[in-house]
Amino acid sequence: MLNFLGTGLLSSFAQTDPAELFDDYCADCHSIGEGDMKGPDLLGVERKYNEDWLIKFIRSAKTMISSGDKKAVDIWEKYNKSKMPDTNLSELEIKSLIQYIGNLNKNKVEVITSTPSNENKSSVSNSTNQKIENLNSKIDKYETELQNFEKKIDLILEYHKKSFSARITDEEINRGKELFEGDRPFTNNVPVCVTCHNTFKIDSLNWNPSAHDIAKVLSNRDNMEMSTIIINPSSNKMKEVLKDNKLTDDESFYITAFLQSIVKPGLKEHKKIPIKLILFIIVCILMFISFFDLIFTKIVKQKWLNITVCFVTAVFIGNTIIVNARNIGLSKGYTPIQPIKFSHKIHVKENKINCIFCHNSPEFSIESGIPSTNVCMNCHNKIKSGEMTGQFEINKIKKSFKNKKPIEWIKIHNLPDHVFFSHAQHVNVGKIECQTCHGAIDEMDITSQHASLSMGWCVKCHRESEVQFENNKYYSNHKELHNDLKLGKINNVTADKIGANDCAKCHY
Amino acid sequence: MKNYWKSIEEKNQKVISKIAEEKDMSQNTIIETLLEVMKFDNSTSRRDFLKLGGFSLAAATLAASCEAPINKSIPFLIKPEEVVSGIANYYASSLIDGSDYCSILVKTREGRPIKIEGNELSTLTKGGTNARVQASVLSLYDTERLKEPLHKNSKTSWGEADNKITPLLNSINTKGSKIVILSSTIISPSTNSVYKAFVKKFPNTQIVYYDAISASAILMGNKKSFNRQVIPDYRFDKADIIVSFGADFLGTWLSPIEYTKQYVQNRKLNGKSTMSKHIQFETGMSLTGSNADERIPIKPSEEGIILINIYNQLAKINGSPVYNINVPISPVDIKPIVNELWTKREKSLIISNSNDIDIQILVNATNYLLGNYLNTIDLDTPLYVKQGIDSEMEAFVIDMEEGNIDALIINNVNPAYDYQNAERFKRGLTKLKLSISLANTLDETAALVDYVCPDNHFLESWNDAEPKRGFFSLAQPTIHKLFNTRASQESLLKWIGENIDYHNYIQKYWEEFIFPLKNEFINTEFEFRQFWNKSLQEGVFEIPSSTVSKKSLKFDSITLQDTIYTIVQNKKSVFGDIELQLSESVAIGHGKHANNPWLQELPDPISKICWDNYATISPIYASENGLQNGDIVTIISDSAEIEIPVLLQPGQAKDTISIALGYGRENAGKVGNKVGKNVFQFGHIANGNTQYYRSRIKISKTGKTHLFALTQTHHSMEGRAIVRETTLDNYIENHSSGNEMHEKYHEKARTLYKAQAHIGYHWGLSIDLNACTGCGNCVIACQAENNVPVIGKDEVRRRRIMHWMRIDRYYSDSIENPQVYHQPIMCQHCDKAPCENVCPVSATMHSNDGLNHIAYNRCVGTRYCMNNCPYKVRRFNWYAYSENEKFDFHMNSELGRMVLNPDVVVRSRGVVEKCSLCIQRIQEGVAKAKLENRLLIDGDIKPACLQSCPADALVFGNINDENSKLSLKHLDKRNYHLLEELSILPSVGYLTKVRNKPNIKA
Repeated sequence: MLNFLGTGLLSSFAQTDPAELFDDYCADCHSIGEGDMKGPDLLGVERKYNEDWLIKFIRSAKTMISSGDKKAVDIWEKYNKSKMPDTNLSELEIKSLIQYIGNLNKNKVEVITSTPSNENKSSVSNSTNQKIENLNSKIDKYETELQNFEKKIDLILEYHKKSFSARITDEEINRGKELFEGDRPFTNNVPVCVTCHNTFKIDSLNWNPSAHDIAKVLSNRDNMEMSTIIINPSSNKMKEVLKDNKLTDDESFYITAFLQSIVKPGLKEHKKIPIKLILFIIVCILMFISFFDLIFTKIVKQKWLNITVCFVTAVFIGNTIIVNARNIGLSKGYTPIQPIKFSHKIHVKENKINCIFCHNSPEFSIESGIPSTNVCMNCHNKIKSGEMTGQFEINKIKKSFKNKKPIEWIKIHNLPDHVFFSHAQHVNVGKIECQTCHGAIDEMDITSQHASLSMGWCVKCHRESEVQFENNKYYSNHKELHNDLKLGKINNVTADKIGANDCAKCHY
Repeated sequence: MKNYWKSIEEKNQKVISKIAEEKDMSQNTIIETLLEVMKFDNSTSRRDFLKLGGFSLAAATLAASCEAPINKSIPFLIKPEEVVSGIANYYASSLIDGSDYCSILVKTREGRPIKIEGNELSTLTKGGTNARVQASVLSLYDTERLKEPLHKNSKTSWGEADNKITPLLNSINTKGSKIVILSSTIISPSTNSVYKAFVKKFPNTQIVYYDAISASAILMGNKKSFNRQVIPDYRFDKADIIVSFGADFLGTWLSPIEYTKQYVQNRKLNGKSTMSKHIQFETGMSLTGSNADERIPIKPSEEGIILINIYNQLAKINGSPVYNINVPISPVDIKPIVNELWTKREKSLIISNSNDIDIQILVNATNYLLGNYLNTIDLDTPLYVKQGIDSEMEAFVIDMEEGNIDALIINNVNPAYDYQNAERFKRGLTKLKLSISLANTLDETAALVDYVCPDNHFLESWNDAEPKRGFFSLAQPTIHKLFNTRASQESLLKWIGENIDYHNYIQKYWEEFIFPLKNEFINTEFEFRQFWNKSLQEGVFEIPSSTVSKKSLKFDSITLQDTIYTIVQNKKSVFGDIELQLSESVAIGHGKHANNPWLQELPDPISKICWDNYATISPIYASENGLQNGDIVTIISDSAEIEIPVLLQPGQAKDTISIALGYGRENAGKVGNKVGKNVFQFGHIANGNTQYYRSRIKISKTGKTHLFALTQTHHSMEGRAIVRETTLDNYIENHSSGNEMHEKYHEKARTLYKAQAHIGYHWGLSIDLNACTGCGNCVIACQAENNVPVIGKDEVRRRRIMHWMRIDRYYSDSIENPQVYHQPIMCQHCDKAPCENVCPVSATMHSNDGLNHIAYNRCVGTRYCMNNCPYKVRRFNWYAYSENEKFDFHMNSELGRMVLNPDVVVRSRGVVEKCSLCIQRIQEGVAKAKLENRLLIDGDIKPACLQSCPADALVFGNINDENSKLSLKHLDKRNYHLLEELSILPSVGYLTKVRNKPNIKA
């Protein structure tokens, strides 16, 4: 039922934005109208060279230079013999790129010609000026016609969009769900989606985006675009998976319907059975019954049995209450699901990035600093694809940067409001390693809270940690302690001896 | 020992009935309300017990099973280099608001201003601020601020407003009709240049400067005397004797921060044995009067007569012509004053706050006679903070009422509230074709105009100032605009067709006019950019005063005869009447910031009443007329009538009434509306200027009574040697005079407890009672720094004021003319603190470095510590004051809470709190020293109260270090501790008060 649309039209939707293409492939070495960088300024490049030549050159400059193409060699020599890397862009994409550069060019040229006091122009005779004006006016006319045409196309497309979105029914969503979760097989032996993409919340590691993640990313497009993307995905991994087996249009539409339906509610949660609570209640009832029997009904003749049951259950209940009460407000092992599947293990252990490279203020501020998006972009401007997550997670950073919306991380180490903690004091003055409190962060793919952060935990460490007594001149004022050290009365000075456990060191 | 008292009731040994009753009531309130809410009988039934049990079980389960909330960490998108989360940035700026000026540092955390500090680089304010400056940061987060431009009180956009205003102004201009800019005094050179540009574009524009409380007579008086229409530069630091007639120069008069800094230089002893002498003639008790060595209560109308007599006697000694025809003799003995003035001539200073030209001329004549010009008074570096001429304002109002004015632009003034004939002004407003207000709240005037084009808050705007000639100062924005507002200067420029950013405008102005001054006076080659950056970084640019050429002066004495004649005639017309004096209060001023809850809750330095104004009367008058504290009276003059409660004020001149201006706002906002009564209507024009006193007053009892929110009687010290004082002569003879018991107690000290070992550091504070003027700056600074809540009038009446720092005021001697003492009290951080022993949960503990700590989260609210504290410095949170509808002040709104200091926790209900000696600042200083691998240096740490003290009355430091400034103060012979007979070893010391007055046997 979807086949009435030609695949040509569909594929035109799948095309990526040329501006994005430029950013990805060209912007590192080229600018448009802002001067030469590593490579030449591309302003007016579409006029200098013909399109076929450009396509060939962009695909593989190296082969053209080695084949001795004169123009190519000229450029190569002019720009310090740096070869342009080969690209795997399609012809269509390169054409769109050239068109994009041309459009920008037109705008810039117009600006230049419209400035009245151009001295070079004054020497040109009036007649040529007139000709140019005539031509310009013709161009304008064509452009307005073109714009009108584009508007009409937009209108038609808008109509289709509406008709598509109206067509989603519950039945289609269910079909999509069955397909996604593998309850119904795909026609072309396509692997089941749910093997990689979760539909439930999980707390273990899955590098692949969940169904909800995908739905969120695609949800700003209309259903038609979405199903096209599902058939022709842009990521390398998905291309690999769907290389031989294609989804049918119907199937992709059902999946679209399913994805659209989960954008708002989000991932489902597995129903948790509160085993502990049930056990607790059963024990309570048991205790009540045996107690009741012991005193009133007296059905069980062996009193010792009832007494033992009462005693054991009472101990169990007491213990449960105490253990739970002590853990109120503590969240050791807290592992929230972050908006980006960021792995400290990959960054710290595998890529050997120092903590302070991203968390840049623990040495002088009370806070260590959550890296801002621009810090991420320092590297991820170049590193666009990860080994584990492909482009999907890294694209979120890019998106945040482009949309000017900061990433909303979920805070793991929460100290209560009435606790003052300074990173500078501990990291810089106390020379304590990050790992002492944050655990083996370099082994964590999903970051979780290592320490309990209870007051007992703080105080214990203060009692055990030695102060940098000799190394920091600030402490030279503690003359008595220095004397005692010299005389051997004490072996070391721990933090609590100089007041680290005073109330208002942390609470004020 | 001398008898010190804090209220008339105490002096007369009466029971303070009303307030005491109120106190007893308050003790039960919580339990009573709880019982009421739960509808419990006194006998609790079994069902109630089960209900309560069931409820608490459910609550406990709920609390335990609730998951911790998810907190988000949202970093910057692109982090600005200078902003580091957790580190405060300080920006030099200036408070420029009409007549108020102060060079400041703005402390910002994560991009929002949270505290104002004094800028020590300014030689004008020298790092001092006052309560109003401290509180100004809160007005940034005022929910009453306008969020967008208004047209006829409904929202509009800037584009729409501009599109309608510009053609209207143009058409009015082409028609040749008059446009008026009614403005507060403008000390900003750039703004004045904007005004000039406006006048250039619309030549029919007249600019009228208007000050709610004007100094027009000083300006006009100097014009008549010396042909210079300026307010001279008074130098209190150079004067050995200061005679002030009603001028509250430490509290409100002209430039109080600057004057306090100067005044205190000559009052502090620091090993010296000289001190300036200060004599104050005044009607009501002002802050300045309370600090005077001699204070002489007079009626406002007597001022002229006393001045004439002083002048004549001095002239007689000097051999100048004497004018004593028909002059009545002075009501007070002025002989000793005249003699002292003459011996200290050229080093004396006479000032008056009178707005009567004749009196100002007479003051000038007397100063001239004493040779004070070029010594203690300088006309060459005039003060620009008040420029309004009352007669111009009056002429404008008449003009407007007659319909001669088409357009009016109102900038930073509120005449519909504070003009003495506000009704007339309001009538005039209706005759305009176009009226525009640039106010940033919908005040009384803005509510009546066509367009309100809200100005930015001063912390959001660029500005510059020249409060005194040659003293330039810059203001920079410290936060992005919170609302859709626009700098008033930009609005004016927009309407004359100039689309320029005010920031660029100021830069251009400085490059053109101020940068050349730099080259002229200081021979260093500077690029403008460097000059600009340096000025901006330091906040000020000052031309050394030595480079200003001094012009010789000639006093124009031709009119003196007439002047004296007029004064004598005026006096005759008011003889034997009750007189009303209108004063300016230290906190509220002329009422612009009435919506600032910090200022409303700052107790008046003298009466210790907050959230009110009242008529102060002399106790003798009260007893003659059967009036008591809180009786409401009707006060009638020929133009106005109000009902207002009376307060018996010791030291009030007999047969006079004083009332503070600035209260009774109608459109200030929910905090400031209808607090007190508006008395601006009692002002009247006489002799061409607005007079702030009134004779021919009728006063009658209404029979109604009023409860004041009075804080002084909250904490009683039972007449022990809390304040210790001496006279200068005694001090010179014996440095420990007045403080003899210090040694005695020191020897007698015995204790059961082990001595505290303070290893490393032992923090302490010293307060010089001779320097402290009691202005209240520290109270607000502390409130801003430590997130101290505002509790409102009702709760203050229940004696629950939360200020961690209070300034106690004591009187001694007679009720008619008492001596006054101001004593700042905060937690004394005793080494053997009585509060620590009694805490059942060890919530309050002693620290290694000698501080008395309190852990709010451990406190269970038994209040044993409050009972056991001999100084009564601990405060109890009777309610949750944050996010509580019942306390609808700044802490109840998202916007208002932006002012909170993130380093200090907001206390919850049911815990005790108190001064921590700004532990967060100590921690910050210590951390900094540790990071820089060095010892702490004296002066590294400055608690909030001390940092901005205009009197430099406090010193903070390490007692363990024998050479620290603090240790030197603690070893001073004047040093004593409060209640040292208890030998609880407080870390806070006080230096005795020394008065420069003759020895009189008590």
